[in-house]
Amino acid sequence: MKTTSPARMALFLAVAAALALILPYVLTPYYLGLVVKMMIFALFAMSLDLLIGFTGMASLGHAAYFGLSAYVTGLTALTLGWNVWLALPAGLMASAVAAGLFGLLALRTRGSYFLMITLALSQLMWGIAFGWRSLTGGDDGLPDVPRPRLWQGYSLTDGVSFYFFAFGLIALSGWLLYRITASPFGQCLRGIRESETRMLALGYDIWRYKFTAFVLGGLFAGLAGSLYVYYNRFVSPDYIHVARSAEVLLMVILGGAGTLIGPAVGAAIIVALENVISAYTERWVMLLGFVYVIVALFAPNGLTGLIESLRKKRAGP
Amino acid sequence: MQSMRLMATLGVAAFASLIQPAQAQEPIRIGVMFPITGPISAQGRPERDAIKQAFEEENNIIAGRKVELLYEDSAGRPDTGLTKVKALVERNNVHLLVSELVSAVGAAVAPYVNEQKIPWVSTVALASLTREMKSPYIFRYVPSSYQYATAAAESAKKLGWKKVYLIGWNAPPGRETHEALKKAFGPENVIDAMFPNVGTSDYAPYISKMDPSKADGVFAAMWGADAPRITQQYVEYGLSKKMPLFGIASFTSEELLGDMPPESEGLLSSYTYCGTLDTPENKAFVEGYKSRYKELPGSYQYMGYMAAKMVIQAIKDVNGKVEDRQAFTNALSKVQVKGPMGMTSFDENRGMVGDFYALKVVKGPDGRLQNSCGERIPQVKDPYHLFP
Repeated sequence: MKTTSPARMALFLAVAAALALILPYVLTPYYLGLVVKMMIFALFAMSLDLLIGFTGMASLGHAAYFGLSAYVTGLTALTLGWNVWLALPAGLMASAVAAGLFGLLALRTRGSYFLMITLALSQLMWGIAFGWRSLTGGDDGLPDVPRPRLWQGYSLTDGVSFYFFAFGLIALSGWLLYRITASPFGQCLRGIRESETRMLALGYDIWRYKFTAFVLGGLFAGLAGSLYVYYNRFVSPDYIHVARSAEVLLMVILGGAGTLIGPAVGAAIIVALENVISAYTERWVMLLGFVYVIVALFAPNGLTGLIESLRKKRAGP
Repeated sequence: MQSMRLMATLGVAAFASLIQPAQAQEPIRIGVMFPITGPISAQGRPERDAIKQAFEEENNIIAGRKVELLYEDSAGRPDTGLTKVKALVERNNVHLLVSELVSAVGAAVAPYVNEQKIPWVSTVALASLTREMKSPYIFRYVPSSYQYATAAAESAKKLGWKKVYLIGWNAPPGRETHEALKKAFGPENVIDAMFPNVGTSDYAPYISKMDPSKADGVFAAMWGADAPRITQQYVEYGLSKKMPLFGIASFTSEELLGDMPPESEGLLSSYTYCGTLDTPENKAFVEGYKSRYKELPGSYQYMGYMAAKMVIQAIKDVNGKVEDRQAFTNALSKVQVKGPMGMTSFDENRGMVGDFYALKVVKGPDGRLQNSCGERIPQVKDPYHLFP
């Protein structure tokens, strides 16, 4: 385990916080919006990292919780007129319950079987969102979700206030995720990743640990989904589709699983590639493919793994 | 002396003000976003190409102003599409949008476009764009599902059809076609309506339920690769001889005819584009597209081309002053253009109005399948009176 000195950590946090405060005043609204999108996907990728990187459970259905929470928040805000303090927790609650139920089923398996059952369960959710037209709007989704209303008569109407709202929640979640992974509970998850049988032999109830991690992962993915509804102001079955689960999986792998910061960086890079490069060439998907191939060949542990190994090389044997 | 200098300065200033209008104007920036990657790219890419063609025919200069097209790729995904439209509007400062054909992307983009007050001509066949979501800035140059299904029903009624089957996508256009057929024929005369999912490979369970003694014909509301597939299977079951198949909207679009079996001769349809129509405008469109892209244009290309043509005429009408959005959208809603298929315009909710043709698939002189253009159905409008 590498350790970072508290002074360096404090400096890093101070710089990051200062940057976050300055950004809205130096960026144009469009790029600020893109930063919010990056942050939302960073949270989504970090929530998956809790499963993949820390517990060793490769899920290909993580978009289910992202999408379910998005639908619940969108629907309650749209049809019942709920404000943020009701609609957002309702979404989180729904995704946590769904993660709990799906966890009961999925955690009976491991490896590629786990991958397949999570995929199947998320496609089930997608099928419901796609087919239940009267509730979800079917293929076209739910357009025109209201802006986040904090209290009667006050909504976050401009990009800057929404940026701070999203940044606050995502920074808090990032800190919580960091605390969770650094805690004895997190150490135990790492132990499960390395060897389940050994942890079992040591007397840990590994199912309970895995279940808790699974629900927590679903919960944070749900927060990302709810924020994404407020960001886009619509929700469609595309939020739950397997393509989105695969996309976030790639973000985690690109950045480096098991580091939290890595997946966040991976998310930022993919969102940037998708939106900046595509203005210049229609071959942007190919370019994205090249990036994946290069990372897989030369940095199998992701970008953070690459940086780490370069640092080690410089420091000498 | 002092006054002399003042006079000279004034003179220069007056002269300068005279030559001011000759100063180079900023180009008109038009955002063109279509699905260029992903499953719908087979339709999105050619449609974008046809838009390019329409502006090239004007040498990219309209009313003395240069036109700059800015391309983006929605990938057919609503959230990607919305982010890309934001990029076009907020980063590239486009004056207007000629964009998109996927209805889910259209639904996601519409509230944003309305809020930003950016004139947008879409080719999204979403009925709600001219209903619940209508806005002075949103124009739809493509028939809505109610519009083309009602037209198809009227066309089939003229052939003497009274009882019908429907097989349609388990998606909004398939369901809305069902609504339109129920209105046109009466609910009891739609013997059965079946809704297979998009991309179904085996239609046997559906086709075997169709009984030629019970109905006059079958409507098919599905598109893309599914259209040739169901036609193939329908022909294999020998049903095409007993009970004709009637494709809704772009079912027999030119790019799909190559994949249809030779026995699909006699396949019926009714739509706003007929590739073989003999008008000078259509010849120019087909030849222009063929010389550029080495293939025949179909109905998607036609929609893109015409959406661009409407915009071009409106820009001419306001003398290139697209910055005045009020004046520009007013001009656009009054535009009348004689296109490849005849006169066309926008209705009071800014939906497309144009001539439809009864189509029949026949063998062309080169032995390949083509659409023959039958009876003209003049000025088909979105039926707001039936579907408010």
